[in-house]
Amino acid sequence: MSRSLRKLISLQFKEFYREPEVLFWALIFPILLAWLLGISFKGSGTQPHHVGIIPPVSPELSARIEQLKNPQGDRPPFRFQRIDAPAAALGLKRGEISLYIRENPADLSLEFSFDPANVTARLDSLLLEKEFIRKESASGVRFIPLTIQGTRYIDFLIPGLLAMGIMNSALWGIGWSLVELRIKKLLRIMAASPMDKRTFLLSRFTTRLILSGVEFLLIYLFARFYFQLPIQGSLVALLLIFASGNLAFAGIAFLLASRTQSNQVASGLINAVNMPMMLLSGIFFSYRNFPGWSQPLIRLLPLTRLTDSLRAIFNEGAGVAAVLPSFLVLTALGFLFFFIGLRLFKWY
Amino acid sequence: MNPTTSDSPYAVDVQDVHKRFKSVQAVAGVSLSIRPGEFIAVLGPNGAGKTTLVSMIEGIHAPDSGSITIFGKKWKKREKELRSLLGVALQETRFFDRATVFETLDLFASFYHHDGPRISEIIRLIDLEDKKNTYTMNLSHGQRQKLALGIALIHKPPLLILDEPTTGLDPRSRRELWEILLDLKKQGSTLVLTTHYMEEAEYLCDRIYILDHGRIIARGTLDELLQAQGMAEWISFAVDSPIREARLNDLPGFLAVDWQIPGKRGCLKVQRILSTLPALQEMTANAGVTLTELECRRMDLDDLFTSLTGRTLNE
Repeated sequence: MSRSLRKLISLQFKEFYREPEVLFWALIFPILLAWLLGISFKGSGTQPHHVGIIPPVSPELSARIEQLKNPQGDRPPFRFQRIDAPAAALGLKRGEISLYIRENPADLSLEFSFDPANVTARLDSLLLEKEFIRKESASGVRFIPLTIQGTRYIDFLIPGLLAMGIMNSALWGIGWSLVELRIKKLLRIMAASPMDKRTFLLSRFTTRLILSGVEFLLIYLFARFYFQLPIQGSLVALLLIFASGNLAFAGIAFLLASRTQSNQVASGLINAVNMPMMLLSGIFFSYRNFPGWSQPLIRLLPLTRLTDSLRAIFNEGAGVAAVLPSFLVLTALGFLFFFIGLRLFKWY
Repeated sequence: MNPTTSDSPYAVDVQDVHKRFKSVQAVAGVSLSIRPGEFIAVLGPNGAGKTTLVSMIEGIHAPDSGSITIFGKKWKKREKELRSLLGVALQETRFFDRATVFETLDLFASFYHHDGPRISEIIRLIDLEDKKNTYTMNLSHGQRQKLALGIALIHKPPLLILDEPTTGLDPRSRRELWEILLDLKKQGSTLVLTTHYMEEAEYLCDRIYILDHGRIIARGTLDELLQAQGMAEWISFAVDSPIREARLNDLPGFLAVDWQIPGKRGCLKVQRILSTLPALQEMTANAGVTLTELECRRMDLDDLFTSLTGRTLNE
């Protein structure tokens, strides 16, 4: 690594950690956000666990569930709602209930329907099974595994937040900061020196890659230990997607900073890129709720690709092969935007 | 200090250069030649094309037509080589906010493959030793301009190009910067300076080019320029009651009069203050009027610019 590159990178780090606010916004804020959103959608031990129950309900079962309303030992309190089957399915998707129970009127056996990937639901079903079997009278319990997209909200949210972090880190960290250097005329002064321009651009990208890696790791570790979010898929796939996501957004950032001469225009451009993507690409809520015709378009967005790939790796156990197309597309986009940007780029 | 043994006797040689930006003809046929060791000023109002001209000399823009050589070499394909012969500082540069003066110089030094001792030398030269560990965002404007100059000087460039380095500076900081530049002159540096301060050009530079609307409208040493305009001198005056213009016409060495208030306040253009002034005092005394204001000065670059263009330099 050349001395200039080393100095350029170390100076950017110094700029970064010498500004405590930046540390807060880049590192602490995303974790706070994850925590806040995670908490509000999680439902913790002391709060009642909601269970759907599909009529008809025998008087016997009715009496039994009445007893479960209050907590006992380490068993949380349960709330039972009588709802019909479609409402129960919807309730599961929305996280309003963790499972639903159907009683067979013939033999009074029970069916528990839930998503086996949903940890809370699994736990609840085991607890309830224990309760119902202990007060033995009926003929047992059957588990009906359901496959429903979006299990815990936090499982859905964290990969989205990680993707958004990669995007914003590049757009602001590379795009905004390049515009600032241009406004300060520092770019022109550097261009007037024999500084290698590739070294300079490489230093910007490298610094961002490292910072965004740290941010990624912190959010992930937080989610791992606080929300027990495992990575079900391949780590290599994760690395590939992380790198290509950074590349894609670095390219976009570089392109939109290539000629911009003012802070206002820069922030306008950055918002024009990140706002629609943040809303459309399903960071916080699934884009599957958007009209059917818009779905293929939404899937074209780089952030959608990044988010979907991360979710596939985290929640669906995706391996390298599954994310390879996204890796290639994101990498290609990064290079494409970068080279267009390089053609347009103004140093002064 | 001539780093090359090229056949060109000039540090900078600009021949009939044109440059157009969209609808603006920024530079329209400029030629100028600068010998090694010379300090020259390019003087002109805002928008005259000064910055465009120097950025072409710096190799940031390529001219539409005409040629530019630096120590006999053209920019094309020799960029890296020429960059190391050049030191550049601009008006109002800002740096990495939270990098110190030392770190900033250290970074730029790495582009030129210089290090430690040279950085301390520069910090001494630009007189920022007590600000060495200060973040650049906390420097005053004058200190920032010194740092900009320091960056331009890291690699001991034989040619310095300073684009309005003192614009907006307070007089003291401006002086300090001038002293640094005069020291460099003694060491044989070549300087191209753009400015719209005529004192700056007068104080620092051997020769002056006056640029207006992308053209050089006058060139030469200060004396040559003034002589070309008749080397006039000025007497500004005001009187308590009106005097007739004919009386002024009869004064020895009279050239012209500019009235600000007809008959009462004006500016006399004369050949020599020394011979006209006593006659003016005598004439007013005889006419029974009293001089309420009197100021004498030589014609300066501002007057010169006004007489060349009909506008003032700082308009």
